[in-house]
Amino acid sequence: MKRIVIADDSGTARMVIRRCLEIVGLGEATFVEAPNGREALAELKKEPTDLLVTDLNMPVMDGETLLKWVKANPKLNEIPVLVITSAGNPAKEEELIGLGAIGVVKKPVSPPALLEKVEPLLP
Amino acid sequence: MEKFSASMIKATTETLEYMAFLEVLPASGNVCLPPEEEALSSALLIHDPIQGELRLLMPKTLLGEICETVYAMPQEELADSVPADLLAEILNTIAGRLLDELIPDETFRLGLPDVKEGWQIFDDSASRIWYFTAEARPFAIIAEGETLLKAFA
Repeated sequence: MKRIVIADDSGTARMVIRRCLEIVGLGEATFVEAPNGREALAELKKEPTDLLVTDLNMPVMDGETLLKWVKANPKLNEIPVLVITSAGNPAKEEELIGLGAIGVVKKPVSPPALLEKVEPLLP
Repeated sequence: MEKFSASMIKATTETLEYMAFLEVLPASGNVCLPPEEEALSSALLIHDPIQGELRLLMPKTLLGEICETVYAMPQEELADSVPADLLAEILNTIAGRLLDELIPDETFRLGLPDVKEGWQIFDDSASRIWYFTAEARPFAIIAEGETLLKAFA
């Protein structure tokens, strides 16, 4: 069973992201939610994870820092990281992909936008 | 219509349409707001490349209906924190879409939204307010800060 960690300080956003992932075919996954990057990182270290979906703008540890930490850790750097953000432009998107993200999706999140990025992960 | 207004209207109407399937219209004429105790307001700072603040002001009744739509659950089954969290997330999304429209080629940095009771409308010459209606109920967005308003005047 796939394990997906969702990091966002908004409970609403985490719920919407989860629902969209369920709609596109990941309904059987185990979802773990974290309100900031530091807690997400702790969750990633607990068990093998198939996908990390992270917001950028979070307290304690933001999404870009989380992405850098994940990609710098040899035990975690294979985890696909999808960034969800309300604040983005092509240059920022390119920067995040250069850091190792599989893609950037703008809020509000929709199932088609997520499907485009997570399709390789579908069972 | 000047670009700031057009962008604010677009960001607001599209966000609520996509998040909550809500038809939102700019309000024309006088708008009658419910009492302070019946409203919630969320505020968010824009840090870079310009400085300013956005505030989203909404009646609790309208917010409750949006919660039911987004969560697909009756209001009474939702945690008490949900309306404030949803209001903050709506403002966060509007802010991102607004700045994407206004400065599409620039990276911008937003603060974290907070939520308070009441309308949070202040008599300030360095602010602009846009009124909207959704489900026949008024709500408003305020942009505040001289640099923000002058940048897109």
